[in-house]
Amino acid sequence: MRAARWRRNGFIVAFLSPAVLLYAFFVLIPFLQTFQLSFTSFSGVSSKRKFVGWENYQYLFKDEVLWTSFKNVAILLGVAGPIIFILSLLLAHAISGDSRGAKVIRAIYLFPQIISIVAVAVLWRFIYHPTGGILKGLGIHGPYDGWLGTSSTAFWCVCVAFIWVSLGFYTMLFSAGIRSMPREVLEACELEGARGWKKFAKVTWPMLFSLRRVAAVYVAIHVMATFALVNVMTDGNPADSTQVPLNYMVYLMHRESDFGGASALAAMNFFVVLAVSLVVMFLFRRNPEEGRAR
Amino acid sequence: MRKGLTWFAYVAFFVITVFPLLWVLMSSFKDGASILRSPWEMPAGMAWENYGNAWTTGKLGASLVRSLITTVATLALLLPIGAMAAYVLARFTFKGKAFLTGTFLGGMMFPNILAAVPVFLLASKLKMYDTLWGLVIIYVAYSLSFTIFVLSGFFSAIPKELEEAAVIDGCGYASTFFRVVLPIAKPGLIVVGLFNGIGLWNEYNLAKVMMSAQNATLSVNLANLTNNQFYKADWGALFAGLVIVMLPVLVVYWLFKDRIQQAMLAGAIK
Amino acid sequence: MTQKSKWLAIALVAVLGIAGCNGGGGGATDTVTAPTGDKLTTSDSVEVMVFEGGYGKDFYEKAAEEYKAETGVTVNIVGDPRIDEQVKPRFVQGNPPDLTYPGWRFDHWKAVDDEEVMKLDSVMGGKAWKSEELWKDTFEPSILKLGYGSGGQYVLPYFYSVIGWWYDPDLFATNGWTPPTNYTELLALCQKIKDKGMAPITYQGQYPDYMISGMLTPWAISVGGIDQYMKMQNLEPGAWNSDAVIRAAKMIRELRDMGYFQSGATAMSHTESQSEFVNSKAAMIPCGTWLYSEMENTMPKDRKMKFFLPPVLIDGKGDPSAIMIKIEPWFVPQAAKNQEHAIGFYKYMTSKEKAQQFVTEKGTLMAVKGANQVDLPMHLQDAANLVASSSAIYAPQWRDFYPAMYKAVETNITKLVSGELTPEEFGAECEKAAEEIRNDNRVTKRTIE
Repeated sequence: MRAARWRRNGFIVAFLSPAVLLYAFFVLIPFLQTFQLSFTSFSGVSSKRKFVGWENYQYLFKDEVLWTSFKNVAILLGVAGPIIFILSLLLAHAISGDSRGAKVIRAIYLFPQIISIVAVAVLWRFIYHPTGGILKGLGIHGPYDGWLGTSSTAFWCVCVAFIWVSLGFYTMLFSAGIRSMPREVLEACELEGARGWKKFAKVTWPMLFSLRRVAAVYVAIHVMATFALVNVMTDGNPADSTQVPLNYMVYLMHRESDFGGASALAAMNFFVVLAVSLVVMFLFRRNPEEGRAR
Repeated sequence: MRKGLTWFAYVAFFVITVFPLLWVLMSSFKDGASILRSPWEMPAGMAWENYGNAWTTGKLGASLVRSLITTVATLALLLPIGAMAAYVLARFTFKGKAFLTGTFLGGMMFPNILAAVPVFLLASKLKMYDTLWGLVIIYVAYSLSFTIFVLSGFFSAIPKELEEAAVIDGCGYASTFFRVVLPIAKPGLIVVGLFNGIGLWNEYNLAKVMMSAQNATLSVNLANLTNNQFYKADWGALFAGLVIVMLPVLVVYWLFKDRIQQAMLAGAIK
Repeated sequence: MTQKSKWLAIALVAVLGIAGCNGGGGGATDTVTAPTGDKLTTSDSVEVMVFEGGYGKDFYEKAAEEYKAETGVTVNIVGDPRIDEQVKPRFVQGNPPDLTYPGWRFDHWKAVDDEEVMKLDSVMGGKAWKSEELWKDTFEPSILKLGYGSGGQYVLPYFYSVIGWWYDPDLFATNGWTPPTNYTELLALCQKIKDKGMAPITYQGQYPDYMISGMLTPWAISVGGIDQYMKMQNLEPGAWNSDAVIRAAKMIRELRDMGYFQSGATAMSHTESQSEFVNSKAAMIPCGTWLYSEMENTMPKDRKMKFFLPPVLIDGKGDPSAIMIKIEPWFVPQAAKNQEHAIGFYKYMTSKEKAQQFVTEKGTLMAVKGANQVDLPMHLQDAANLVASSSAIYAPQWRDFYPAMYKAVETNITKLVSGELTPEEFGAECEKAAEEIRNDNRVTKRTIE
């Protein structure tokens, strides 16, 4: 009996350890080390590090660019997020049938999601390109400094690209939810003559409550992870108007040789991600229309 | 009327999604200057030399090989390591299991680039920086969360009776796993492998932190070509490069649409 | 719960373990006899990491072969357009190359602060390559001093670039235009070009650096004199909020308000805007002397380009011959294993013969005395003459000393061009940034003379 337990435990340890060790060493420890490094002055052009206490945080808090970057994330969350949410819900509803059109859309809606985000960013740069972009070709000229060259328009242009790339994933999510709905409910609903918009309001929306929560949490996580899109599309330009925290972090690392400050920003971002996710989970905590849907 | 609206939505969505990709494809056959001069014009001829230029002067050929090697090598390590851990977490109860599961799941919540500074430091110290094996190890580590999460779902769905039968037949834990469980879970592995494969092929953040421009992977190289710094503004080659990075993914996706969606859903709904 | 804390403990121990192993990189090579670059006896090898920009790395590779033939020392050249990305981790490892030119992305003054760079003053007092002359006397003094900072000669120049404006002589000749010699002429010319339906001026909007170097700085110097610029570089109180800066900002604003800047230029990268210029969609562009080699492969055949000084005010206080250059920094790491040979190789590379070769082959100017007296390509002739006859050569050293300040001015100049800031607000914002840097005790202050 004892031998059997040893064998069992040995197996557990043997099977878990490669994953646990790799994860601990290359993911967990670096994450923890970020906090430690955030209290040091560290240039990245030397191995020298000096403990500086909260100094990096103090300077960051005074840094206007930091606030711009968090404001931009808030815009993505508060404006692009709901748009993605609503459009994907509507689209999922629209393609729930078996018409030929719905099938075609189902085949292509994930294209933007699965191609390289770098390719997406480059593509959108050319859509907005001031002298020869797609929009310019359509005769839509945009502001004098170009769509991505004007502070007041540039970040909205990034938002549109973000929506474009995200839509498919959420549509897929909601489509799966709709497909897994009990057939009887749908049939009962059809019998009552509810179709289209009515069906959406009476059945689709309330039935998807748990998925709505999943989607909302995902939107939050995806928004907070925005990096490559901005890094390649604008790199924060013009005048930092499209800056986001993760891109600013990389800027601090390599252009200001401030690995300590970059770590402090990473640590702050860590808590913001955590807080935002918790708030979203709280907001979507339960189905307000539970009773009625049943 | 309602039908008209639905169809309008279909067409609009189709155009918005597919048209830019077709435009990239079309532009990749135009000479560099005319891409910006007349973006809407059809290509005059087939400028295949764009692909040649992208491949050689843009060094996309070398970076494509690098991306391919890292993707394949990462999967070769990730799938067994991830499957073993996922199996244990799905089937066995032991002290600390909840903590372990939670820690792995937590990794899915935070953007990997948050760890850029320590990863750079660690990679420098261990001489992993700018090496393909270093990148592969980092990739494996950062792909574990998702892999374990999805695979443990697959393992949980396998009826326990099969394993019990195997144990009665005298199989040990390990051989039960390799001989009985893994073959049944093959569809799950394929799904996870495909999805991870696409993600790794496209990966930008960690490759940017881990590799110098000289040894850049495809995505990073493409970004470098765009923001150039490379002293040659060849838009034709850039668009050819875009096609080179997108096409394999789109083909794989087209062939395995359902399975890839399955993986994405399995990762999301729980 | 116990399990949980055990894990945390393991993780913490591991973190501390990693943190503990940050052995000091510098100071390890306090050798008894200082290297001079003259004692070339061993057959060791030297590792040199160089930025592979528009001029490539073939010149260095050839020099390495010749050097091996001369001395028996093997020099390995590692070159890349982003060599800084490979140099940084080597410093973090404490295993830097023996000699490096990491390019403008590498913060070499930060490395000086971290004591990672070798002080070369005593070496400079030694003999030059196969010569009785002192090594320091073989450099142009006005350019050599640009590598001086923090009380020492840490950085050595090699080739340098001259910053000015560019035009197409053929295009100007056909239209009867002449390059403007002052700001008044510039305005008149821009109007003529605009009437022709062409954009008078384009610029590298994504990198506002070009506008700071090509417009703001020369115009501020024109208004306030070179002393004023030194005050700005040294972040003296009030220097950035001065008439000189505000007036220069007004000049930029005026060009924009008159519609003389190409539409969309703010959104363009340097190659995009430079493509506009070489494809004759815009008539003039501010840029350094690297422009030709940067665009050589993509510009139309037989395209010519010529250099002229940024057109300054007729009645300006500043020296109208003032000219901006930018040096390319080379240095020997403090922890280099083979400083002796690194210095020897660099002495060879800076011999007059090699320097002249570089000018001829690469078409750029050199910091070594007499090196530029060779036949220069067309795009370089004017720049070389202007430098030779200038009585006020200066470099934007604050760009390297205070990256955060530079970034702030870049942000503000973009806002100025787009009209988000008035010239007065521009001055005030820059002054605010300067004050922040002044009060930032993390930033090492270096006085520029």
